[in-house]
Amino acid sequence: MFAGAAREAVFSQDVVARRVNDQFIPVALKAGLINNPPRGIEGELYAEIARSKPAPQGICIANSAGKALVWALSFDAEQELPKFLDYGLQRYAELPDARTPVATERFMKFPGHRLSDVADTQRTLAIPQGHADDDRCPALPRLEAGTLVGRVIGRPLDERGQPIAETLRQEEYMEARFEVPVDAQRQLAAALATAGEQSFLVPDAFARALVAQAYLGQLDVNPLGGRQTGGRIEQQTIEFQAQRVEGSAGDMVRVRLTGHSDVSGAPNSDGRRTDGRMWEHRVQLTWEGYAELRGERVESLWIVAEGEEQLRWGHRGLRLSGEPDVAHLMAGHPIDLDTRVRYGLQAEPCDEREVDSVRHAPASRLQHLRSAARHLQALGERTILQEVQREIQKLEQAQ
Amino acid sequence: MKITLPIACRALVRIILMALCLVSGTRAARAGDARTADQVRAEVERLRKTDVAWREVQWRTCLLDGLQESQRTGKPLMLWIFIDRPIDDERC
Repeated sequence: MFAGAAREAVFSQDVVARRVNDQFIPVALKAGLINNPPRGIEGELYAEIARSKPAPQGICIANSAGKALVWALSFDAEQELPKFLDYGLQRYAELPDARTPVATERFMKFPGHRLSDVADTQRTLAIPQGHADDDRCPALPRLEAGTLVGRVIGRPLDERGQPIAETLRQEEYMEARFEVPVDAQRQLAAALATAGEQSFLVPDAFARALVAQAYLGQLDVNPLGGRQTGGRIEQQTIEFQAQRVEGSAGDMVRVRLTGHSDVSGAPNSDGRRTDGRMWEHRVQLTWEGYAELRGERVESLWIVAEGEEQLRWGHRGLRLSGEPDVAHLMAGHPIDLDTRVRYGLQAEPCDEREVDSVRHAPASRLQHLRSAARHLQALGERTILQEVQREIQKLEQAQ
Repeated sequence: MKITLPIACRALVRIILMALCLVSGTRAARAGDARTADQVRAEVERLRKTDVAWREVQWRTCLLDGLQESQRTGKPLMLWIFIDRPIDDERC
């Protein structure tokens, strides 16, 4: 819940947003990169940030050498937010680079609950001019060419059936990215080819890719998250039909999609990630939309869904505590939602910047290279063997 | 006496009602009341809001770019480290 709470309670504050834009260089980093840094000098920079982190997630002000100056996991009150920015600027003025050792200060709650400092390694890391791996940023997604990438937007409806005006919280306005893998698209194309002009059942992989992100709230309450998010799936009925319709042109085929989904989840109680969270989430939707296919690939997709959603997160004790949202970013705020909802999804093939052709090289290529290496070794062709082995290493590291 | 149904029962009632609506809705759809492609596109566009408060901060996503800009401008980095799905996402 931390990230959603931080976005709502900290970075949506007008004065905070303006100051962060004007006085800082704001960088949003995935915890996965910090906690499992990539290889090379860039990985060492991520590891330097990770070295002092008090938790897997947090807000950190760092200097121009990548040294963490101060961490905060939450704040005593909203009034402390601008003071935290002031404090970070003050520390930066004193310690702008690696010439002076930096003892990283850390706060469970700024400024009232300070944790132990972390001493500097006194090692200066060079900031490279480009990324390794052909200048590919490790923060970029690594997709197979042709992966469908889109946005899903979800909004509760008011009594008149119109989306509510509020957009601050993720249960009021949800916007997320979703992907439809190439293989799921191939399965849809194959089902279409078999069905011809008749209505057909949409393969589960494709249908599930549409439904997977259609829920309000933060990642923790994903009804289909299962063990990945510390939950268990209680119900997952996902049924879609498709049929070729007018609007097809040349080798482009348009299909109409209709469907029904009923999914629900709750916390997993088997001892994993039982941090006291309590939630239950059910989403029941009726779907209608269109997809355009060319060959085995979907070239565009747009679909709407409407239905009912019930979400409960946390417990009333959070509300009764009287603390502001900034004081418990880790737990977030309680949610008790029972509403009609509407979702809209739109997708197109991914941008080429997100394509990682090395990672998604066919497995057969690796097999062929290994076979070639064995032959070259037997023949004693060392020079060519070295080149083949370098290529094998590159493919293995990318997987 | 006010009776409060637990969430599962309320959901079950809604499922039954929804199933009845789905059947009648499906009949209506087959009768030609389906949204056109343009109508669906328009509905999807209408849902999006561009002026949400949490889009104000101009987040970079590359640590290297951030550090280079920090050195160039003399400004500290504001790092927001968060757990998300493996792919880039607005939801957190």
